[in-house]
Amino acid sequence: MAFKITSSPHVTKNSQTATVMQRVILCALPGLVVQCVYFGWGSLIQVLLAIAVALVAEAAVMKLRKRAVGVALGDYSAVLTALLLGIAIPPLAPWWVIVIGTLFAIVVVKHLYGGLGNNLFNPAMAAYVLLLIAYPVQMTTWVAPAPAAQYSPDLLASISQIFLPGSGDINLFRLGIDGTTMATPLDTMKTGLSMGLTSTEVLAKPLFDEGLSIGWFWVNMAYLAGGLVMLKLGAIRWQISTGMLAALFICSGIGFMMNPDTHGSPVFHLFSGATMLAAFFIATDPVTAATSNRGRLIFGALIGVLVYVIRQYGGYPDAVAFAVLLANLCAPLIDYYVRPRTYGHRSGN
Amino acid sequence: MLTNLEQLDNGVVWRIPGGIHPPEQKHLSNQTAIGTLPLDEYYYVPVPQVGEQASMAVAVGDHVLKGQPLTHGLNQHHLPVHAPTSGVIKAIEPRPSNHASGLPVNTCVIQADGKDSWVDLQSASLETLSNDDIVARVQAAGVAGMGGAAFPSHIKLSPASDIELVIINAVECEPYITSDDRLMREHADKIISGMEIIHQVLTPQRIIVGIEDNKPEAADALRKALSASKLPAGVARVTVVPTKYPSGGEKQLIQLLTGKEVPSGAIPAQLGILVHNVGTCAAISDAVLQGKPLIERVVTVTGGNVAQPGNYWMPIGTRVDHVLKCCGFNPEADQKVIIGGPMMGYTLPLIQVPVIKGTNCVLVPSSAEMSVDAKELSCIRCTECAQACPASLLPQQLYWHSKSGDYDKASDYNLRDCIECGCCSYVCPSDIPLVEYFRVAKSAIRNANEEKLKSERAKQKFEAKQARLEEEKRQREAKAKEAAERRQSNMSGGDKDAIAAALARVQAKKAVSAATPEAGADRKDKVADAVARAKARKAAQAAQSDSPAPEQNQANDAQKDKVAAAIARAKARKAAMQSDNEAEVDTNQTSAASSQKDKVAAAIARAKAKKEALKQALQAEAPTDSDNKSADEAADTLEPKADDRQARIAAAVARAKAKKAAAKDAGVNDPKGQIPEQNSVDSIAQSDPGELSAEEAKKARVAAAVAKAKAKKAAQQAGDSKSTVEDTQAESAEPKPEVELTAEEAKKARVAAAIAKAKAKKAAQQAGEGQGSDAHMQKQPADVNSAEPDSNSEPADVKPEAEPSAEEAKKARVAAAIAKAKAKKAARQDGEAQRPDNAAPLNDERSEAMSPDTDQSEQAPAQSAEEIKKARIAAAIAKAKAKKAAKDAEDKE
Amino acid sequence: MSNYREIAWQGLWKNNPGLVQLLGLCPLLAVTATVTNALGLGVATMLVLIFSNILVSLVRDFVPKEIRIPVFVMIIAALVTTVQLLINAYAYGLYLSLGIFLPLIVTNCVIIGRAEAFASRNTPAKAAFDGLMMGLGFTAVLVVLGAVREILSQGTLFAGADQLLGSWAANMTIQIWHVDTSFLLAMLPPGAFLAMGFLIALKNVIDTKLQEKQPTAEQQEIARARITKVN
Repeated sequence: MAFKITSSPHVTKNSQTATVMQRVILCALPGLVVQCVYFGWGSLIQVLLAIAVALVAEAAVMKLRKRAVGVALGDYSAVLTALLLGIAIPPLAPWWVIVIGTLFAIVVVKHLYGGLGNNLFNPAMAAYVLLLIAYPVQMTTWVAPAPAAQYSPDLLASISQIFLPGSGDINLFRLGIDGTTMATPLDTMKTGLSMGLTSTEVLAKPLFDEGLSIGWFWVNMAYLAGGLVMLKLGAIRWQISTGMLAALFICSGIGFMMNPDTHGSPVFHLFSGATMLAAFFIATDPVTAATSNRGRLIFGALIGVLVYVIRQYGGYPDAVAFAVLLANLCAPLIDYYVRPRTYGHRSGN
Repeated sequence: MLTNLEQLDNGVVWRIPGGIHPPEQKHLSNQTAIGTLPLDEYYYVPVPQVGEQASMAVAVGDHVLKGQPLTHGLNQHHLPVHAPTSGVIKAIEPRPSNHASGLPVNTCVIQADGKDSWVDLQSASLETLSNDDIVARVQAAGVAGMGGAAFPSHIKLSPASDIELVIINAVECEPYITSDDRLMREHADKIISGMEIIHQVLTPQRIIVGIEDNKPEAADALRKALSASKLPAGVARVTVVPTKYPSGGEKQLIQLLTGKEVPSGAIPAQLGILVHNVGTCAAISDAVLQGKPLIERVVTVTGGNVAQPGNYWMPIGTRVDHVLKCCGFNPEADQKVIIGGPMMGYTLPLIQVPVIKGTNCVLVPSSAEMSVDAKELSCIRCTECAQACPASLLPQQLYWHSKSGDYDKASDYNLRDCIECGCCSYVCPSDIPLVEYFRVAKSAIRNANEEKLKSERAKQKFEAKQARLEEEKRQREAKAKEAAERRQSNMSGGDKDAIAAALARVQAKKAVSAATPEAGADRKDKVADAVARAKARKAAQAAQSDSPAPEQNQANDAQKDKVAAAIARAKARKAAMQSDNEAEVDTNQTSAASSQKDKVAAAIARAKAKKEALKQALQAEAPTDSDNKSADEAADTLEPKADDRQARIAAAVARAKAKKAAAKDAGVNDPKGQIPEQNSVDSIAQSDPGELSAEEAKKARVAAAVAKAKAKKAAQQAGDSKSTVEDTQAESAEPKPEVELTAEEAKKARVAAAIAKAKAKKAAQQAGEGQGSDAHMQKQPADVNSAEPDSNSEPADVKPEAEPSAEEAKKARVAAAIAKAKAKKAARQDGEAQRPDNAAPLNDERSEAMSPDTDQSEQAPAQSAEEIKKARIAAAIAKAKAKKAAKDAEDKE
Repeated sequence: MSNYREIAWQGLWKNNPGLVQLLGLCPLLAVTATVTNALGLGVATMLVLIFSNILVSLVRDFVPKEIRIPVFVMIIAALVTTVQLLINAYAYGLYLSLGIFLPLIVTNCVIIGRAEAFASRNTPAKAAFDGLMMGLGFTAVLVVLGAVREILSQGTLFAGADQLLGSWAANMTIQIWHVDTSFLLAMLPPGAFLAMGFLIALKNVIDTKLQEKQPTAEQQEIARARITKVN
């Protein structure tokens, strides 16, 4: 009788890429929910639209590449990319913004570079940057958080704003209770500081509630919670997130200590913008991050430092996307120089 | 150097990085005591060391007892194997081995007789044995590492460095395997006694037994036995380590128990640490104390598809299919049979293989237990593999580089430190078979290193050979130069021209030997050859009889030259073309000679040169006088070129001949003295633009052979050891002084004869091409054959007497036919005798032509066409000779 | 004459300076925001290329090998100055919109590359033809890229053509579509890089398709016996 020949080991842990991705997606949902609570249905619609476009685009490209479509769709990586991009985009951005962004992320950034596992840059972040440069107006038109807004968009209004841009006035939803146009907290801080206000004065604006930005604080908290759950489940490892948050904390702490008037506080930095989303969901994308544990710490720290530098001294209010892309560029270099010491070798080998 | 004895004594356990926790599945087989299986009918005992380090101590058909050694050791590395049961040696032949490849290995097949009777054992007590005795007993028992690696234990017991810590590996970290567990529970005392023996031999400071915490009963048993042992207090202890795969790896266990790492590429003995398996300890105890050889071991049989899983004592050599049958094997589709555990075991392609010393488990899993082969997806760089690696490697990088074939980079990432434990493949979410990639990369690197070594060695050998050849060449050249200088200094009145002529001859010969011989030749050429030969003879004769006076010779030859010139012109051109033009000696012969005479003379010279060259290629010795004469003949066959040079050549040739004749007359038989003449002729011939064709050269050689043969015959007739060469000119009844031949010359004559014969045979083979010329050509060798030394009584009368009458010619023809028959017989004998002479200097063609021709001529008596042709050839030769003789006679008149 | 055909084929397609040799990418990406600018720069480059090739070819036998590069650059610089002054005089609007990239033609690697690789080793006639073909190829790429970018960003073609061709060309502007929000990226350098990449990919696709259409020689199948299993 002939027996089957296989190579050792003959057992595996049976963990799948799809499982990991699913866990990440699930842990991001609380943050999405909180975001919808504060900023309306727009984000959910963007996310759903993005997922749909992503799946279609991935299937089409895999067919073009003559590969198995089901395998690619089944690993949920495209869904995760779409989810992250949908969360990052302003809730009421026109539909073609998210469509163009998702297409660029899946087709150009992911598949033109070789498909899953081979892309150099984080697809969601690269697409975000593309949209930011291409449509700066649409990408910076955020909605005022619900507690502080004059008009909050309901489901119908969101849908009509997204799919029929121009039918209504989006600026309606940007108005605060007192009728002033509201931007994101980071935007507000940057503009205020450049105008000469002190940070305390900026924080006194209606957008902020005792130093914490309304809405954005809880969104970040929700993402933090999701991230901690992921750590517990083992879907991600702690090095990148800890590195990034620690570096951001230290940098903003130093800045704040040097001159509190012109620098935001560490708490401000940690809980505004996309900090927590980036720390746990975006920067931890395994394909584009460094590989060794020490390397990951360095990678995360690099992101944290860059986020702070661009926020404070750069031209854009939120810097996560650029910081992540720049660190992606450095990942191979980090891998080259940072290697764990192998058993039996002295350090340095 | 151990500095942490205190920590050892306190049972401190360090951590190893990475590791995994696969499901243990040990409950399947560790619930029952060790059992035994019924005897098998056949036992296969592999004897892989036989041939290199060992020899068989038994032969097919011998009756052996249980425990009888089957191999006999030749050196210290020999690990004896013993018969596992009593029986008869059925065969000693290659059988499939217990290996993933199933490749055959030399195996001793024993047919059990069922009695299972032991050989006599010699027990001993520890106090009476010296360390050497103990090691010798361990070796004689064939004890090898039972943890799986099967390294000879006696080598481990005699390490080069001091051992301070002995670790007993009772960890058994792989899932499913429980053989050590049961052994410890049931035979702890044996294990401890083994430890005592090790302690006596190595005297370590500590002996630590490492065991996982999932084997509490075994740990207790060991502790109990240890407390009752004779070991000094505090030397040995049992340390429990947390259950994790792969804690049982040698390097990992050392790190666990001591916190130290074995340097890459080194062995633990260099740290003063030695690791032994518990099973090995028990076997050592048996071997030393009871003299029992290692012929059985505990093997776990487990898995979902076997009805009675458990541990069994199995004789080494029990076939796996017998084992599985006894344990109730239920194979399913796509069944795997794994030797070892699920993490590092290998699958067997077939189960008619034996259990060997390192087999610790036979695992037959059901498909529910072990995952279906999943498809390999792309790596998502999650680095779970790096987290799990106990050697702190980067399996992901190793994977990228192994997959792309970039083995340099893979080595750079310390691929060789991979212990192939399988942790990385276990955790990979994309189901990438990482360990397989690493194995392929490792063997590719090993192959590449071996190739490099081989090519290094080959390069060294090549360079050495080149140096040697150059050295030899240099020596040869020096010798030749020396000899030439000597010759030149000894030359009596040699002209510069003579030297040059000789040189030219040499080179012509070289060119001739390089040229491919042509079988077919024009009939006209042959006729012209004959004519030229006659002329040459005459010229030489004239040169001999007269004083060396070029003008005189030329005057004598004038008429002859006129006649022959026209016929032989083309041939000379052709022949001259092929001669080497290196000799640039301008002979500066008298330009007063007539052009025709010059042509003839030149042709003569060329032929001579070629013949000389050939002869020298043959034997590198001084040619004989007869050779010179034959060269003359050959030169006659060449068509003289119509220019002064040839005249000069001819003159030189004639002069040379005269000189030689004079020298010979004087009885000076100095080979060296001949060389200048030859050289002169050769050089003259060389100075011609080479027109010698291979054909011509061949003819020249044939003629030379003929002359040689004649000379030989004459010598034998004279009853001398030294044969005198009778000039072919003697045929023409012209007075010719006898010349003495040296043995060399005689040999040369023989050689030339043989060459001619070969040519004849070759021509004979090419039947159908140029009949007439062939006939002519073949006739000549026939003559030669007939003139072979063995067949003395040849009618060298075949050589037509130079009687200018048709009658004579006819007689010659008849004689030629007779001679041909004789030649065939002689050729066969000659071929066998001459081959060694001919092989080296001649073309291979010739020697080959010799034997096959000979054979063919013998084997194909029915080749009537060939016969006819040969007869024709003989006839033509005779005719030509007759004509020549007639001409000579004419000229004389 | 087939040699000229070969030169033409090389310059226009096989060895196209923009898509294959990837030379002169700086002006290529910077000025191709509109077709007009692209066309203007392309024509200017072509003129410089032709005349520089002729001049370099004429002096090729007299210029010592060691200093040939500075000599070539001097020739090119002289020509570029001439062209610049011409454009300054006759197409001032274009001169303004091209800005610094007009004098930067001196550093365009296409020109110095062709001078070194071709003009310094061939006759003036051939060199001139090569310059013409390379220039045409370069201009073609410029124009296509400019068209793509202009359409994507503004939805028009030949906007501002009057600056190059004269006031009559003001009516040449084609409005393909009208967008409120232009795809800003296409006008910016990143968009130029992306469009360039797609153009090169397109050329490769065309090349592959052409190659597939060629009849391929039948490969002799060498039948080999291979032993893959032991038992």
